[in-house]
Amino acid sequence: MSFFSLLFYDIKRLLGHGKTALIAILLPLPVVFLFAVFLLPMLSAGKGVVVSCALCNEDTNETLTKLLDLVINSEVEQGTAIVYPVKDVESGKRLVEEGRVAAFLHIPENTYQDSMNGRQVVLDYYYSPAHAFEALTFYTAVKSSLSVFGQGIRLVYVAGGLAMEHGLTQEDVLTLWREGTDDIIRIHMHRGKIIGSGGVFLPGADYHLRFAIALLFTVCAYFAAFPVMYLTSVDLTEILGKRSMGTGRLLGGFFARVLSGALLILCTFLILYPAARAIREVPFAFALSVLPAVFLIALTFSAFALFLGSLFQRGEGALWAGLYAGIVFFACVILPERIEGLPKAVSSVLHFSPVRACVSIFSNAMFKMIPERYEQDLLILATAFVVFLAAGLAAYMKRGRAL
Amino acid sequence: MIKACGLKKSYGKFLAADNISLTLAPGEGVALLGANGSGKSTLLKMLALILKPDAGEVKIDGLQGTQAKKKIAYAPQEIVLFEELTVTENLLAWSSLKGVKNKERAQYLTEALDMGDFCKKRVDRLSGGQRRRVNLAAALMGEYTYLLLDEPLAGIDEAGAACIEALLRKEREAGCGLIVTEHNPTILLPLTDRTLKLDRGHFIG
Amino acid sequence: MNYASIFKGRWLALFRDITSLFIILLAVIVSVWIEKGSMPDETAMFVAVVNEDTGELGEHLADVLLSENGFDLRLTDRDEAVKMIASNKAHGMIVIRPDFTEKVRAGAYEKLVETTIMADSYDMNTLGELVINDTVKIWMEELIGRKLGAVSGIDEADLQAFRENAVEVLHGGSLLDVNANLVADRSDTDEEQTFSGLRWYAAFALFYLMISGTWMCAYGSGGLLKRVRSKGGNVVKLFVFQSLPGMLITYMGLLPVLLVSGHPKPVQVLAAFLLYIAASSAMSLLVCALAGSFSNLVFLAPVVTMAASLVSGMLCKLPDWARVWDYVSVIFPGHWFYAAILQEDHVAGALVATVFWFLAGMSGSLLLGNRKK
Repeated sequence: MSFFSLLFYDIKRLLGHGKTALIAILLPLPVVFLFAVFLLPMLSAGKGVVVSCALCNEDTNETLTKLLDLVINSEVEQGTAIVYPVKDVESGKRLVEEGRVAAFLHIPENTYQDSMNGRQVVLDYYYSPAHAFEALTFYTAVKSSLSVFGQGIRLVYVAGGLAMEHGLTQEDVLTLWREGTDDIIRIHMHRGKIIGSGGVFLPGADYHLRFAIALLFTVCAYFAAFPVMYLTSVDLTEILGKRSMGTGRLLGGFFARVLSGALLILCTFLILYPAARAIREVPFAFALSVLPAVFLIALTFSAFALFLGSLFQRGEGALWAGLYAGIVFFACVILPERIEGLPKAVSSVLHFSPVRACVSIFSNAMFKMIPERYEQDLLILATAFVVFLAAGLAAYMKRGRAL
Repeated sequence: MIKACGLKKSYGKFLAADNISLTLAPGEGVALLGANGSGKSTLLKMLALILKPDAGEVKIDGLQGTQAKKKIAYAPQEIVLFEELTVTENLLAWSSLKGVKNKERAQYLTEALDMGDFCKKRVDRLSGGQRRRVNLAAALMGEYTYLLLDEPLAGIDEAGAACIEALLRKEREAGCGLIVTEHNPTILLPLTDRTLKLDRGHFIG
Repeated sequence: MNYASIFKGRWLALFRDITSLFIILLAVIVSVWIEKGSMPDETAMFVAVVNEDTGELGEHLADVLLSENGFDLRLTDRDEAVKMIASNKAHGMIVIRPDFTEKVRAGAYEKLVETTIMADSYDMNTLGELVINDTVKIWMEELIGRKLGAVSGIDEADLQAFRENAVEVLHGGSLLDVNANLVADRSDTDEEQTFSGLRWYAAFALFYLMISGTWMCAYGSGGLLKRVRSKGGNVVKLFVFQSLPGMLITYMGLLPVLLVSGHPKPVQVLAAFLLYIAASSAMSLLVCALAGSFSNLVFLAPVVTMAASLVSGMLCKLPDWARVWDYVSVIFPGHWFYAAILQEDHVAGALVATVFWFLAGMSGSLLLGNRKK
């Protein structure tokens, strides 16, 4: 029962150590708030980039108007765009200048007729630097899909031309033409369904939002380990080091600290998870399936914190080391390992970083579970846990025996 | 028996212990006296095996290292407690760390040192004198043959000093060896068999 | 009180504290790098292509995909692709489904291709569009070709001619194109003139002043200020002389960043930064006094820095819909430093912000000290 007593008292100490543990647990709240506030446009759609767009259609062609309505309604329904019709180019440009819309698309007169007659048509897309991110993402999607649509129309022309050369009547060519363009319009209206999604444009999905949420989780979990670093260093120097103690229960104290540290880190996830659900709908089943990883992450960070705490004589020293180690870990995540000329050793470290594995679990497994990738990330974390635990234990016992 | 031979310790150019030798027989009591900076605490730390001497060795009942530490109860001059825990929790936590959980002993010490009124309070909310008593009690949790106490009465009022004196007397009667350092020897001298005076790291007189 | 020796003591202490000094060094390096705007070359993201199609159109799509630039697309089998995704070697997987040819020939388009995309990088955002576009091209070519083939008199040679034309069309220009035009708004400047490096350095400077300011934690304890006053000392002077070394160090760190930035009015920026770090020091006093110890400061400093810098627009430009934050941020010194960088009016606002934070810092630490008594 002695180990459980140690564990109980250690939990009480960690959570009762001044304001530190409380701040560590509550830290995610202001961070999530700031994150949510500055990414509000993406959050309101919940799934990806949302762009507010002004539209000036100077082409009165009925088919084009019908087509535009279909596209607009589809995108508005999907939540990827908010469209404001305007009367003229000046009004549209003014809305962009004033920052009331992210972009403005101008469809000139005779667009439909010219393109159907095989003449090239250029549409103008206006955007401001303030909304460059979502405007350009949407522009890329619009440009590429319109380009392919235009290529489709040309294919119909080529087919029509070949058919006429073989003596097909005007009427039959028109039928061929109509059926061809209907097919092209049909597939373009449902482009998303090709990959099992929906909508006409898929402007970028929200991988960056998932990545950012994952980074947020990981940063908060990492910071929650700081009280463990500090208290371990202080215990070994100021407390255990000043009483004549055998090493008998040091081992028990070490493992009690690993578990109590993991518990503290798990507390931050209690706050983070509802925040993630609010920001971006995380499927509950996926969130549950990620639970084993959450426990492992908490244990890994706790073991690492113990390792650092055991290395440094002063609590402040351990915290500084934790801060710099964090900078290195997170730089490894943000810096792509594909940088040309990167030494292989560095690339391997980036590849096997436990923080990267943690971010990968939250950005991938929590939204789209790929079991093999999840297992690999878990393996990296488990390995890191064993390494940090062994190193931490060695450092802790060495300091303990030197007392 | 505690046997210390040729202990030397210096902090930079300052010589805190200069070739000190000392023996303490089982059940014997020794008072270490001396002015501030004479080396009392340094000597006691070396005897308690928490400070490694630059030269010399310490053996406790012929043992060294971790085995020897099991025979000692050491109360440092600084207050070394878990600030976030209550008095009772501190006693039980320290006894757990020593590998022995003994609620009865904690209860006994709480009564003996008159800590009943504040035993459920967090240590960081206690006065200096109260913390000193808890500091001593934490040292006395567990099993030991020798008591090494560094200024156990610092900041303690008369009533508290009387409690401590009574407790230590009982421990002496039970056969514990005692080494105590104190500025004011009046209260604790009767508990000891001999006095050793330190001056600049070596015994005088 | 000998304020000169207090200044000297703090100055020496700061230089001896290598761990916190390294923060400002890192800040200078990162800010210079941001100002230069140079990104290292990256190899393309590797994406596995798996063709499970039983017909020949799947192979055609695979060929089209493999000829794309922007991603490193390679043909492999499903097991290998999954292994590569698992080991983070592949960032995505495109699977051409077994019924691809069958569905395309029937004119169907739902779930022709499966994509698995890892949220490892923002670069992956465009992969979905690329896959869809290439699939649509194959689909259109096939369907229009089949309609043409149904016309009487059209033979294999004609179909071959159509296919050759199709290759030309699909690789060539389109009838429909979209031109992107940047519209500068009334209060806007080009991306190059926002001097990101200077702004980020200012944010880092705030962080450094907080994290190296453990000496300020004592201001909230009550004991220090009481002792100073009992010895006839002036608390304000004490704070000023103690904070000067930190301010000087951050000021010196600005010089290389300013040099690299090529700002047209460096003297204005230097003067504005002086006001900025004075206000930041005062803000740090309040934060440190609240924290009370380094172990709390290590949490508060990054969060406060991030909040103050984000709201002031230092880390990234505030989105236009966030005007309310623009108004709220006037109390933060970063707002005025940013205005100075953009050569807007800033002096009065910066002075007011400096006075505000100075009063807040001093009164906050006094109140906290009194509470702790």
